[in-house]
Amino acid sequence: MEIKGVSFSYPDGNSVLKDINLQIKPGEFLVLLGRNASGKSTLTKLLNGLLVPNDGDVLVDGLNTRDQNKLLSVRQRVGLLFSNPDNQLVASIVEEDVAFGPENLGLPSTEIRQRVHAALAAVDMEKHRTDSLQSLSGGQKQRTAIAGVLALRPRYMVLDEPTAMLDPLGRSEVLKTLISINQKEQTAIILVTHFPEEAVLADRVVVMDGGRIAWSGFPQEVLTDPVRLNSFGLEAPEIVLLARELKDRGHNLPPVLEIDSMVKLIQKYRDNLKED
Amino acid sequence: MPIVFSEVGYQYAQGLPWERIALRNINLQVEKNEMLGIIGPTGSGKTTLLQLMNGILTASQGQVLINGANPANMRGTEMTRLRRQVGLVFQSPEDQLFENQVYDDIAFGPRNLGLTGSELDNRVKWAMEMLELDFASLSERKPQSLSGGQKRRVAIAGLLAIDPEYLILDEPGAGLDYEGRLILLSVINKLCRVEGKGIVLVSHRLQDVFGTVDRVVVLVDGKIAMEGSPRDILARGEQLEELGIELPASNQVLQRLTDTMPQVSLGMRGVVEVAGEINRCLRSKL
Ligand SMILES: Nc1ncnc2c1ncn2[C@@H]1O[C@H](COP(=O)(O)OP(=O)(O)OP(=O)(O)O)[C@@H](O)[C@H]1O
Ligand SMILES: Nc1ncnc2c1ncn2[C@@H]1O[C@H](COP(=O)(O)OP(=O)(O)OP(=O)(O)O)[C@@H](O)[C@H]1O
Ligand SMILES: [Mg+2]
Ligand SMILES: [Mg+2]
Repeated sequence: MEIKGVSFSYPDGNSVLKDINLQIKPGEFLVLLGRNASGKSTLTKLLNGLLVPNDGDVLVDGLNTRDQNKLLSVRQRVGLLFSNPDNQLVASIVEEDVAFGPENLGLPSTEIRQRVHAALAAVDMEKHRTDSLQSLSGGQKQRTAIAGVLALRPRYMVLDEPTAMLDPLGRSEVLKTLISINQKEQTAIILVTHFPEEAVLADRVVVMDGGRIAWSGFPQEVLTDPVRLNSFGLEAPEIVLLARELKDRGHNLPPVLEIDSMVKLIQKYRDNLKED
Repeated sequence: MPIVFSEVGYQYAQGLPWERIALRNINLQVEKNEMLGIIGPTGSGKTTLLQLMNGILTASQGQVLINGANPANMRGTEMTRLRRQVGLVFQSPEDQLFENQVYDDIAFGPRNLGLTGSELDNRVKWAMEMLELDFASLSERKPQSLSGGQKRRVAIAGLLAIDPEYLILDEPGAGLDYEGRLILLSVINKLCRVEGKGIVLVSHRLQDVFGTVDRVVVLVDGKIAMEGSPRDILARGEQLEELGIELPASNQVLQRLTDTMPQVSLGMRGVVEVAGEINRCLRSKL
């Protein structure tokens, strides 16, 4: 997927994206961070041709999103999940909603059934299979919407704050699901989030600010720099903040991003102190 | 006067084959001058509980009393007055934004209260300022065309503009960026501590809840599973995990350290306190 010199303004003249250049490789896991109104959701809508740039081009496997004739192929390749599940859900029963996309692709019914089953299992919603959508809690709706995109098995999955309404366990489950799809199916994942810890396992982190790409790098580099993150209105993961607080108290631990590594580091550090 | 729940139960689709029990045997009291946090896994009944607090839903069993009155018996004008006393921010801001301009959305509540002219204008400006929404560039925008975080701020500003006695907030931080969450938490803190409002905060951002509120209620499967001060609850991390609730990352570190450092105290509120506790143990070479 190639985003080449893309600028975008809404019809009311609000200029939102400015000269965006970005390449997303098949199978890549990319996390998009940025403060409110920095242009993240607008960018996601440009990736599947829902919006078309004013300047520059978006190419999906070589298909230009401006090309009306290619739009259907683009949409098949790029699955987009909006941040509000209510804008996504179309049917009245959970499994019908998840089946809606695959049905539109004209797949055989056994294939549809199998995809729906797998997608619902992936988000732990099998027990709500036959529930009506309006009976679901906020988090349950969000999981259903995610299953709907999973069932499409797109080459690129673009997810706009899919975890915003989930509880912490739900959040880690969804993230695990996305990572396993990414690894097993080589599906590229483009994830927009306000949770910095969701970027820990990404291949690349891209920070947007004022409609531009302000910073891009490996998680280990971006997430361990709380000061620079702050300058873009962002927060570092809690583990990084904990390491910084410990450093301020004279305990200089190497930067890590995961709970496990942090625990082991502290234990080892303590054993060394004891020996001294 | 408080909000009091006595033995409250709630079923959706009561009496129908697809009836679903959302809450059972809830006993709870919320006072003014107090910040109550409610946490719990998805589907545990948090939104249902909040909607019982301002009469959107009425109890299937037991009784809810708000400032001494039962919403189940209220008619039109009384219900309007109740909504003024107990203001709710919905889990999805879209459920709350329906006017054509941001200004009118925030002005909706105070207009119903009879405010007009410069008084109304000032109220809207004040609410927007509290959430750092730029009046000049945003007040005439269509709410539906705002970014997710901007919508959220407008929805919260709409609640502030009513100036209710109780502010009931269902996931108000979802979709807000870091600065937005800091603003929100400082606003509700001020409203409670300075103006004596009652605050009920539901959030999956446990660090925000534990760092802000006076008391935490843990809902699981429609029942109150735990209740206590943030420190009490944090100190019972293993129990929380058994209930399907994940501790904040720094508290997880602390919890895990107890395997090799049993002297670690667990009830630490926020990263700074956790770091302080780890430091204490390292310094004393425990
Ligand atoms: N339909 C629209 N018409 C006009 N302006 C819009 C429209 N949608 C978004 N905008 C504006 O474009 C800017 C970027 O919005 P966008 O939704 O892309 O931000 P975002 O980074 O996703 O923010 P958030 O974190 O709050 O979701 C904002 O100033 C927003 O108000
Ligand atoms: N309108 C409805 N009809 C039938 N059942 C419902 C309805 N709304 C909610 N429920 C069910 O009631 C239970 C409690 O839902 P509620 O929305 O209160 O949960 P919650 O704790 O707010 O969850 P979340 O964290 O996902 O927002 C869930 O099992 C849900 O499926
Ligand atoms: Mg957005
Ligand atoms: Mg809810």
